[in-house]
Amino acid sequence: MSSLPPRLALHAVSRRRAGRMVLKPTTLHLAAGEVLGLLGVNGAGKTTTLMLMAGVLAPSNGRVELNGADLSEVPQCARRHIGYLPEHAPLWPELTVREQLDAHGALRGLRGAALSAPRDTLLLRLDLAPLARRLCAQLSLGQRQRVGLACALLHQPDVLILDEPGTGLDPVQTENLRTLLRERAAAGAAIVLSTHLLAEVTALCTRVAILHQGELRHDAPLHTGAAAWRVTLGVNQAEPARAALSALAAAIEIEDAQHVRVQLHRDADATLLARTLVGANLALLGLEPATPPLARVFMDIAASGSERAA
Amino acid sequence: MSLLAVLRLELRRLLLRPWPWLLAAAVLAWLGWNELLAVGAFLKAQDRLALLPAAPGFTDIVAVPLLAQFAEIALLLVPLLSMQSLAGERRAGTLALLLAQGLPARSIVLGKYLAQLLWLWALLALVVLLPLLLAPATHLDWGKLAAATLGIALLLAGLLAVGVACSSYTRQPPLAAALALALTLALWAGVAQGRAPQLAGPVLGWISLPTHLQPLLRGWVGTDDLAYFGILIALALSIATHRLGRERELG
Repeated sequence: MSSLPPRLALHAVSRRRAGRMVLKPTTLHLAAGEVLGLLGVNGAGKTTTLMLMAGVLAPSNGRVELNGADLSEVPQCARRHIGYLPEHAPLWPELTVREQLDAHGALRGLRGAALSAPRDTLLLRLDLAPLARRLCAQLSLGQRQRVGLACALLHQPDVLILDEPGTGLDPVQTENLRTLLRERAAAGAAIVLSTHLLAEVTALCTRVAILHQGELRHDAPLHTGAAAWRVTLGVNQAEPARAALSALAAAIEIEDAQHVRVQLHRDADATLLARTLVGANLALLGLEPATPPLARVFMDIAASGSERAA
Repeated sequence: MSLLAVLRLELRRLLLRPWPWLLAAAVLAWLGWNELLAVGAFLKAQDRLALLPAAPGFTDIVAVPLLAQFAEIALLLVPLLSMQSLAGERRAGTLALLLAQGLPARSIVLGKYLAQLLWLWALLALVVLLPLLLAPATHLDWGKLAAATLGIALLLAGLLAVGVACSSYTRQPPLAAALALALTLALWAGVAQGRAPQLAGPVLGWISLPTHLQPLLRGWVGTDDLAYFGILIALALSIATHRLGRERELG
């Protein structure tokens, strides 16, 4: 087990604004190489959480740690280690794309080749080279987004905090973005991205956190291989099913007389599972993924919040 | 280092915006026209001035009044320039970019302030150039002109500091400009009461801007006047730095 501190850690961080708790005490750890997808309905507290992580806002309580150091005590750490893309990618409109990147580099203390090399690479990677001399005021939404992303990546930060990075990007640019972020994660960066697109989370993230009404309701690794199933059988058929599935399953958990949770071997699938149960003369009444798909988890949390609010 | 980076960025942005150039052009055109009128009046009055034992010269009749006129224009010009400094950044969301880089509030405030001050002083240099262009054809009182220029330079620095402080409290640049203008006029109007001691005590007279500008325009450089502007600048910039330092808490 590594003794290295997490890249980014929130310890019971909360944020109050105008007497209202916009983020309830939240604890999150993000290790090197992890990509965390932050989900939530509008107003759930995603942007506030990202701003706290980036050091733009200070927590009302709790602390944010960057590589083990308290961000409020050493805010200059953010300069070197955090890349932040705020919502809507704010840019200085008077500057050209190249000047924008140069300004960001200079603010982060980059000079000479340390600035020009990553700048030119990012201009090419994000397909911004043809726009290098264009004023930022004249850019489209997707172009602004890519410039903002280049600014966030310019100094090769350890922690990348991206608020809806895919906004306005076409499918090719979206794929480029994913490739770039996967590369950064492989190089050891921890990435947090907020999005409304569940497909973006499943395509890119290793973990998912769901905020609702300022509260962290879900924080778990994202299972991409759906090898666990919940089987509904006829009355008192759970025990016989265990024997029938012993060769097929890595683990079998009997919930009650009718329900069995099955973790399949890698070479097995749902079809084989169903065929085996039917072949053993068991009444198969239902079969569903044991880990609910992300969309269902999200919808359940959103609905539970609505009920609670009602 | 971060201060220099902010200063360079702000100066670059200032030079790329059209409206500071338009303001500068309008100010120079207006003052240039007024200088022509003043020179005409000065030439017409030559006969009468020659009869006076200690007659006012070109500096008193043309150069210093021109600078005094610039001081009055600055009451409106400086709030218009400074309103964007922090309020505009906050509204555009770019202040978050600066804060996310862990830049100290002091560096952000000073960087922006110094960049705008350089621009204002460059404009002042052009204004001073107007009477200087006529120097070969007339007799200039260099000491008086230098003192008056110092007075206007300090006035610009003070007004700008007040403008930046006002800009640090809002996300609406027009509101920042209105607030700065109101404060500036309050400081300026103080002189009227300062001149009427029966209405106001010496304190009100002392805090009014013209009380300390007028001696400089007359060629008298006093330490209390320099101290006044130093205190005004330091106080206003401290307020702006304090407010920006709390940006992370207040959001």
